[in-house]
Parts: sequence; C-alpha cells; structure tokens
Amino acid sequence: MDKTQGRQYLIALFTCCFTQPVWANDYASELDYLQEFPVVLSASRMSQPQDEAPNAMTVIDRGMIKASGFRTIPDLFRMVPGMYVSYFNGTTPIVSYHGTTDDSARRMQVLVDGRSVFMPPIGAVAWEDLPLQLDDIERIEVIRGPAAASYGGNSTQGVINIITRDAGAFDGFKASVTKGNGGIADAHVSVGKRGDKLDYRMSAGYRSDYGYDANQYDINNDSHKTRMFNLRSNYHPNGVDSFDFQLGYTEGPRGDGSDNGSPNTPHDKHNKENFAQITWLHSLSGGDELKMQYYHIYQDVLNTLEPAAPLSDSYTNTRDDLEFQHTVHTSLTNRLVWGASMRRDWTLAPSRFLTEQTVNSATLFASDEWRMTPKWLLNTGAMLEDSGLGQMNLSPRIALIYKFAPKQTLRVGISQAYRNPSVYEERANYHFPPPVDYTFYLAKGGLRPERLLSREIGYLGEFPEYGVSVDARVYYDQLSDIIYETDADPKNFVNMFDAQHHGAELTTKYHWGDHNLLTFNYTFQLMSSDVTLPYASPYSGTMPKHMVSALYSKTFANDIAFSLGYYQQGSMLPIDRGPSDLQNFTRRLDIRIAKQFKIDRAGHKGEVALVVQDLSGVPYTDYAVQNQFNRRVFLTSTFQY
Amino acid sequence: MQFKISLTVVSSLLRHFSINPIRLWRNALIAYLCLLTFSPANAIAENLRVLLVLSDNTAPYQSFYRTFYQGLPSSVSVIVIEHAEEFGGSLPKADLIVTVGTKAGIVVAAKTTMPMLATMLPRSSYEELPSKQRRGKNISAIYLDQPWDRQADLLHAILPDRNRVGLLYSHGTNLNLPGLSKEITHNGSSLNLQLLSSSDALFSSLEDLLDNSDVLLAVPDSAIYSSNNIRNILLTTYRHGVPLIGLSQSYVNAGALCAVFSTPEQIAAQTSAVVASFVQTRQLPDAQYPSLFTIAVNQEVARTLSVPYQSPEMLRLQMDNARRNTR
Repeated sequence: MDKTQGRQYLIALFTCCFTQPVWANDYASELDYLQEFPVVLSASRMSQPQDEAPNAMTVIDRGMIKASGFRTIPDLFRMVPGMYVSYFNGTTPIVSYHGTTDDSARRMQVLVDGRSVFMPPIGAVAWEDLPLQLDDIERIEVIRGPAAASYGGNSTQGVINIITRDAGAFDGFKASVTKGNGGIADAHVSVGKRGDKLDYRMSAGYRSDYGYDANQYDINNDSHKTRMFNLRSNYHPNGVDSFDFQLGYTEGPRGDGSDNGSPNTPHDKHNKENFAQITWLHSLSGGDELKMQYYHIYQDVLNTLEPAAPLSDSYTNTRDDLEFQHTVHTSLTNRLVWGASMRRDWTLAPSRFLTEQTVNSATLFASDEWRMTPKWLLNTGAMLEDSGLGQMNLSPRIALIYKFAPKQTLRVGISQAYRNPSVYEERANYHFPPPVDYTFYLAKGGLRPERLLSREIGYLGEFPEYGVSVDARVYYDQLSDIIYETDADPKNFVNMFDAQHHGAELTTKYHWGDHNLLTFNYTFQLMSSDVTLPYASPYSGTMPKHMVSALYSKTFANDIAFSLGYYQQGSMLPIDRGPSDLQNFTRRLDIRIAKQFKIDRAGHKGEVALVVQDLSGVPYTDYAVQNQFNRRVFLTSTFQY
Repeated sequence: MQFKISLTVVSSLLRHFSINPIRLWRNALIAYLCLLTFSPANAIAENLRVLLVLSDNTAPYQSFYRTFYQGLPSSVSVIVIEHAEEFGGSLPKADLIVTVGTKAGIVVAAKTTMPMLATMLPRSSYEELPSKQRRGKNISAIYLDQPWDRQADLLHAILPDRNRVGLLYSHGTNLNLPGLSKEITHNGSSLNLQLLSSSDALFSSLEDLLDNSDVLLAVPDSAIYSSNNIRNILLTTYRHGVPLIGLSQSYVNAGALCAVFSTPEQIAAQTSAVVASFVQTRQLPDAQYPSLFTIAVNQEVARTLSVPYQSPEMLRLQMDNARRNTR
C-alpha cells in the first residue's frame, strides 16, 4: 500500500467514524479490516534477539527481578556472568565487568532508556542516586563485551542498558511497603493511566537501610535514606510520531566518613539528582525511523567534612546531551543505524579541580546488520569519538553470526574499543586547604585513551524439547595503556600498564514441569599483567577465578511463588585494597516466598513476600574488611488495582 | 520490513475453480462452437446490466470498482451508485446488483428482491441480512473475512511450536468460535478464549490471557482492536513476548507478526469472475470466502520474538500443502 492510498484509507476510516451510522452497532463491518494503525513496534522499541546480537548479552526481565528478591539495582547484576558486584560502603555500590574492581568501575557504560548515567567528575555511576525504582524496570540488557558502535563512549568492557516500563505499561494504582532488619524500610506508590493519545505513569518512593554491619571497626557510618520521584509520559498524536517525556528526582542523606583518625569523620553528606529527558520518534515508511533525544542530568553532593571547620568536598555536575539516530533499511536484507551526538558535561568541584570544568564531546556512529543468507549475518559498526579532552578515537567492531541449525548459533567477533580518560584523571587537583593543607591527587594530564582489543567466540543453543537453552562464550581481551594512579601522594594518573584477560562464561536456562525455571551462570576468568600494583595485590588476584550464580523459581497453583538465589565468588583482593581486605571464598543463598491474594473481582489484589538474604547466617565481607554482610530478612506487602 | 505478495489473478482463479489450462482451452473451443451454432442463445448472455452499489466512494471502494470493471467481459455494462444511501426510488434497470461493503449490502437487501451479490462484507453480517431473496437463491456473497481453516493453517505454518492460541472478544462480536476452535484443535493446538467483561477491563483481561497464551489472534471487534487501543495492545503483547496475528497489512505495519487478508482488489477480481459466470448461467454460486489472499509478515517483529524466518511465499506453500493433506 503506498502512502497516498494509506492516507485515503485513513480518510475513509474517519469519515465512517464521524458519521456514526446506526447499522454499525448491529453488524460487523469491513471497516475492522480496512482501518489504518500507527506504527507501534518501531525499530527502537524492539530489542535485538540474543542470537542476532553482535555481543554476548544477558537479559534480566521482571520475572527474574522479582524472583531474586533484591531491593536495589546493583544487586541484580549478580545474575550476570563475569560481573562483580560489591560496595565501597553501604551507599556506594561497585558494579564492574571483567576486572578493575576499584571503587569507581570506569570501563563500562550504563544507560537508562538511552541516557548515559556514567557521570563526571570522577567517571562513575551514582547507583544509589538514580531516580529509578526496581518496579519501574521493564528489563535490563547487559552487553558483555565492547559495544561502542551501538552504545557510545565508555562501552569498553560492557554495557548495562536499563529499559524502564513504557508510559502505558500500567493502568491503575500500586503501593508497597517493606520492613526488615538492618534498618530496611522502603515504601513505594505508583499510578499509571493509559489514554488514546497520552499515557503516563508516576511513582514516588522511599528507601533506607543502615548499610553494612561493622566488623573490626567501631563505627561503620554508611546508612542512607533516599526519597525519589519519577514520571514518564508518552504523547502520540498521530500514527507516525511519538514523544516520550521523563522526569526524575532523588535526594537524601548518605552516611560518610569513619573515625579512623582521618579528617573525614563520621557525618552525613546530602545527595541530590534530577533529570529530564525527551525523545521524539518518527516512523518512516518500510520500518525506517528517526529518533531525536535530549536529556539533562543534574547531580549535587553537599559534603561538609566535620568537625574540622570549613572543609568541603561538595560538587555539582550537569550533563546535556543531544542525540540523533536514523534507522534505515537499505535493502530487504540490510539494516543500517547511524547517528551523531553532542554532549556537554560541566562540573564545579572546588576541592577536586582548580576551576570549573566544561567538557564538550561528540560522537558519530554507524552500525550495519547484513543478512547475507538466512544462515549468515554480518554485523559491522564503528564509532568516531571526540572526547573533548584532546583525544579522538575510532572504535570499530565486526561480528559474524552463523545459524548452523535451527536455534543453534555460532558467533565470532572482534572489536577495538577506547576508554577516554575522565576529566578527573586529566585535571584532578584534589586539595584541602589548611588546617588539612594536603594534596591527595594532582593530575599532570596528557593521557592516552585506554585501548581494548577483544576477540570472542560465542555459542547459543536452544533445545525446546528438553526445555534447555545454553549461552556460552570464550574471550581473549588485550587491554593496553590502562590508566592508573601512581603510588605516592599527591597521586598522578598515568597510562601505567597492559593486561590480558581471558576466560569463559556460561549461562544455561532450564524450564521444566509446572512453572519451574532454573538459570545457572558460571564464570571462569584468568587475568595477567606484568605490573606491580601500589597495593599488595597481584593483578591476577583482583578478580575471582570462578564465579557461580543460580536462580531457581517455581510458581504453585495456589498463587504461591518460591525462589532461591545462589551466589558464589572465589577469593579475591580488589585492585585498590590492601591485604587485610581480602575477600575470601563466599557463598550466599537468598530465598523468597510470596503469596498473592485476589481481594475482589474488580481486580484488587495483594501480595505478601518474605525475603531472606544470606540464609545461612554466615557473614561475609564485601570489597573492604569493614563491610560485613549479615543475614537480612525483610517482608514486603503490596496492594494494587 | 514487510513483504507482500499477490498472486496473479489468472493462476489463482485457475486454482480456485479447479480447472487446468487444457480444460480451459477445451471449454473455450466449445464456447466458440456454441457461438457459431446457436447465436440467438448467445444473445441472451450479452448485455448484462450490473448495478454496482458502493457503501462509500472512498479509496478502498474506488479501487474495488476499478479492478472489478477491468475484470469484466465487454458484454457487461455497469452502472455505479457511489453512496449506498442513494439506492432506492427510480432505479436504472439491471439484471444483477453487486454491493460493496456491509452498509451497501444492508441497504440493498432491505429494498429489493432482485438478484444480488454482496461483496466485501464479513460473513456474519451477510448472514444477518434480511433474507427475502434467499428463498429464491437470488442472493449470494463474497466475504471479506478469511475462512477459519486458512487462519489456522497460517498460525500453524508460522508458529508450529506455539500451541496455545489466545483470543480476546467482546459481547458484541458475532464469531463462529466453535468453528475456529475445531480448526485450531485439528492442527494440534488449543484455543484460549477470553470474554471482555467491560471496556475498562481490556488490559487486565489481555494480561490474564497473555499469561496463558503463546500467540494472540486478532478478530474484527472494534471494542478491542481500535486505532486508540492498538498501541497499548501491541506493546502489551510485545512485553509478554506473545506475537499478534492481525487482520490486515495495517496491523502488520503497526507491529503484528503476520496477517492473512484479502485486499479490495482481490475481492473485486473474484467478483468479476462470478459476474462473468453469471453472464453464462444466470445463476449465482453459493456464498464464498475470498479465493485470493495476501500474506504479510513483519520480519522485524518475527526476529525480535525469535520466530524463524519464513517468507510469505514459503508460508503460502506450507498452507497449500496442509490443505492438500487434509483433503
């Protein structure tokens, strides 16, 4: 059907709608067959199937999020092979893929609905400040491997791509309350409304806990209270355009400091974050699409170190980002996505930089998917990036996918990716005036970007007759010019060393009987480098050699859901910690039992869920020795209509 | 990316009427001989006057008219009434009335007992028409909707592993659901029906249905599948990983996995053929489903829902084979 014809059909439809003939009520009409619809599932709304993605990919869906019993987003990544999840302290999660387990894992991109939340000045993700509740997440796609051509800068070792629920995903009201030991007290209210042209959902929430329990130290000041709000709305005035608008806000106190003699004595810092984002999607004929997106992020950390008078470690960041993307089908078998983006990052951090910092960066990207035959698919892509700090890089990627049998896929990929130095690594001057009068970091600049050459072979197989699927890959990554801090104060950042990472990752899913689902992940990784790190840890021991995670869930006929999560990690010493912080071999078992109630026939329903984390009660430590995790028990009650 | 195929009218007609080219040539020869021998008899067959009544003069009806007209023998003259409301009063003389669309069918059936061929209307509407003519076999139809076996065969061809077919319908719909259930069961699947209790409950009913379905089959029901609802219906099915089987190219463009449907042009071609045979026999055939149909597949949706790649041609071939094996 050509465009004019389409328009005429539309006119036909409208004419008939407005005249409202009496017979329409009694008879089925051809109009049900002739009506025109908007393009709903356009290219950017659909996810790439795992067996056609150029990288290994783990998808965490709502079912898994619920079954895991986790309260926070970072914990979810325990279900991803190769992922290290830990906490610098109770309010500062660390999520990193394939090594570099320092307190601000810098080598991974994190996107929320296409918005990069990997922020200056240090170059880290403020997980606790994200204006996002677990229940607002539709799914998370974790790309394991470099993917700059598709996801932009800093996608060096992987990408976490969080996709929140559509504005029209929920129509009604939902409220939940959680209470548990360790100060766990959460509450969450959301409303959603679907309309003909406008959908929206809003949620407000509160989350708090006391953080880790102290181990050898008397005080472990890492409790937090987080209040948040977010709104997502979608306006779709006609068949081809849709405007998605999002707002979010978080704020709250976070415990900081310790009484180990440093000037950073126990106190609360106050974090604020907000954002606004607008995305315009315009459908073109033949499944092509234009996308324009703008967002603004504001972060503010008010951190006054007490009691040593006017010492401030406060900072304010903003980010403005504009992106354009065009999806075009150049032939029946070829799809090209290309686009460009511009970004301005601004930081005011008097203790860390001499002046305020503005970095203007830009990218140009393209990725192409060519179905050479029904069995062979070639995925190529590249991104050209101007870091705004003097670096210009081209990150290319190529992956060849071979579907050698139905539901059986082999993938061979090679890619080169760069991580640009953060503004902190280039320009830090972390200095406190008297009475402290000390410079912790003094960056001399002139860094080269870090470089990663990644090679992998992947296999994906589905065996529906046995209810089994397998996702396996082996990889060899060569990292060059890794930026790291020097030993003596004031520290500088230099391109200090090269490293090799190789290993294997396996995910299997087994579905059997009446609603039994088991997901099993295994990671084997070896890391090597000639470097002698400032702290005592040998590089090869900075990640566990073996990791296992498993999630089993079952739904019973009487609306009872049961799930078990198992997380095992070999011994390791985080890259920037000393010998006393050795993380021994740990295993943790979490359990969740939930019962749903149908309150009435009008759709009012409720749920009560009990979660026990670290069921055995044997404590373990995370990242630093004072972070001791004891058994946590909490109960969540939910009501919705 | 959508693919669309339309078989040539000739080859499909051949298949539909179960005639082969040799027999066609033989018939043509006989017809020619008849013409030579009994020319007065042939004169009756000529100059058939058809009154074509459109429900409306918008694009689908216009393109019906164009295709219909082109497919007629030269001996047939056509008078067109572009709006069904204008039918009545002093009518031009005609041997056969062809109506296009439900509205035209209703208006004409109520006002005349002349031979009438109702086209491009759903079967359920045809069966509810006032049936004065039906006693004299003076009325027949070419439906717009597809026979259930064709729907079921497409479902089976594109999604052989997805056995639970969900169907949401409201009180107003007039569907032969037992007939559909029989065809779907025949292919080894089961039909999961969900009645919509009120329009407020659309999405909760849909969610409940999708929890227990592998595929959702759209039906002509404007209380559910309207242009206002389609967006959130498709997004909901997509979230559940359940493909929607649509009713038209427009459904497929919007994000349905596939659809089997007949375009106004295809119905028109079939109508021309029926009229051409009426010229000879002065009898209307039994009411029939469309013999020409189009299969459309949204390949992007198929990919993202991990439905193996199959072109519309391959699907059609499988459906043909399935029919042949049934017979």
